Amino acid sequence: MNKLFLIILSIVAIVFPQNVDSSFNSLFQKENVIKFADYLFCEKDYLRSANEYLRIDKTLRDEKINFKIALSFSIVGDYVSAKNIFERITGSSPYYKSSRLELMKIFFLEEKYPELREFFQVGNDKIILQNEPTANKLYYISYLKDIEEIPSFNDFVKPYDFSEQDEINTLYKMKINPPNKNPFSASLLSAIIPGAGKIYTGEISDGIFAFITTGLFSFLAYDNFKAEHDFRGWLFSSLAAMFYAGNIYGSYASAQIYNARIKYEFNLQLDSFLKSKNYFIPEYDFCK
Amino acid sequence: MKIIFVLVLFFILSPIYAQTDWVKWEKADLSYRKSSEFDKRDYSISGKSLSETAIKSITVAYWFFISDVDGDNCPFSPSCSKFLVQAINETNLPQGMLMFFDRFTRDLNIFNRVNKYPRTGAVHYHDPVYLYTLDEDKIRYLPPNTFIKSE
Repeated sequence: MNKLFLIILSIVAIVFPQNVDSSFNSLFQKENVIKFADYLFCEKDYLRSANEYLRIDKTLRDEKINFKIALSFSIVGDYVSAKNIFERITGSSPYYKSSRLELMKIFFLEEKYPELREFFQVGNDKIILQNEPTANKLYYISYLKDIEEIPSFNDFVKPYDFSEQDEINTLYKMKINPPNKNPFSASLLSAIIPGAGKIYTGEISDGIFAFITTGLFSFLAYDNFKAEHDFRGWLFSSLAAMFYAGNIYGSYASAQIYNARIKYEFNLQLDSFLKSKNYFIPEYDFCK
Repeated sequence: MKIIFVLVLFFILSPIYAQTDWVKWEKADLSYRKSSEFDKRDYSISGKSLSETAIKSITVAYWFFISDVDGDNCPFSPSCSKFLVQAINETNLPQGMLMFFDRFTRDLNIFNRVNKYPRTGAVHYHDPVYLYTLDEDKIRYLPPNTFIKSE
């Protein structure tokens, strides 16, 4: 009886094996993988979405899928993978122009501004890009991040829409004429009145304390010399001199730090503006 | 048969895997001492140069007689004494001294620190040496509301 049962079990196992071929398993069919990947993409789960799309065989992927894979990689910050796929999108694809814009955006995010400008000016797609407002906007705004000489104001603002002009004007003026403090002026002011250089750089309480410290030790030195306590007089004189010199030095450093803060805040404002505008790239209608 | 099995189990396995009192009640070697800045201090004097030896001697004396007794009360990270050593190592003796006196003036200022410095850990203001070397390339500005992992 047992033998008979085992034989029947073996026959059943041979006849009805679990089929590993994905064509029999609806979950792994291309349409369902795309549906799931689309769902993840629209839920902004980009890394998983890209991995789902990549499950589809290369030969079965259309241009839209490839573009969405690259876009997902770009959004999650895997710029190398994103660039590889964007670069492979061919001229016949409806996503060709968008892929070139996305490549410019990646250059921008990677802070490769000279490469971005070279791609725009002398790259294979220069004609397409130079006629595209988004590419022009990215090209010009890259100068705000760089140390290269910035184009004239009229050329600079030309590609931007009316709604963007105000912010662009402000950013351009801040780049051309940042409200920096001169370190030499700060030092000079502190040399004339201890602490004045710090006040000039916005460190008011530091300036007042520098004035008090230098003044106090100078007074102590004077008072001790007057009372003929020469050793204490020289001791306090040395301390007063060190505080005085330290404050001149510190005022110079304070102006440098002030300028670094201005630069930091400028970059913060610029990044925030660009993010709010999605780097001038129009929204895709993949999730509508 | 069952008896033999039980005996084997009892005499062979239980001595091997038994929980011993020694393990159970062993003295725990735990330290409840709060780790402090002093534990990490290097009191040694290398004697590489005369200026370094002089400054390190003053610093060690300051640590030994004042700082260790006073406790971890410097509001800045690195502390003023550490700042002095780092400043001299990073620049030179005169510049390091100027940096120290400037830092000491800032240390005296008790106002508006929260809105000026980033924080290291819960209680210290981040004020590193690289901001004051006068080398613009070394300056990395951090906004005051930033929290930095303890060094």
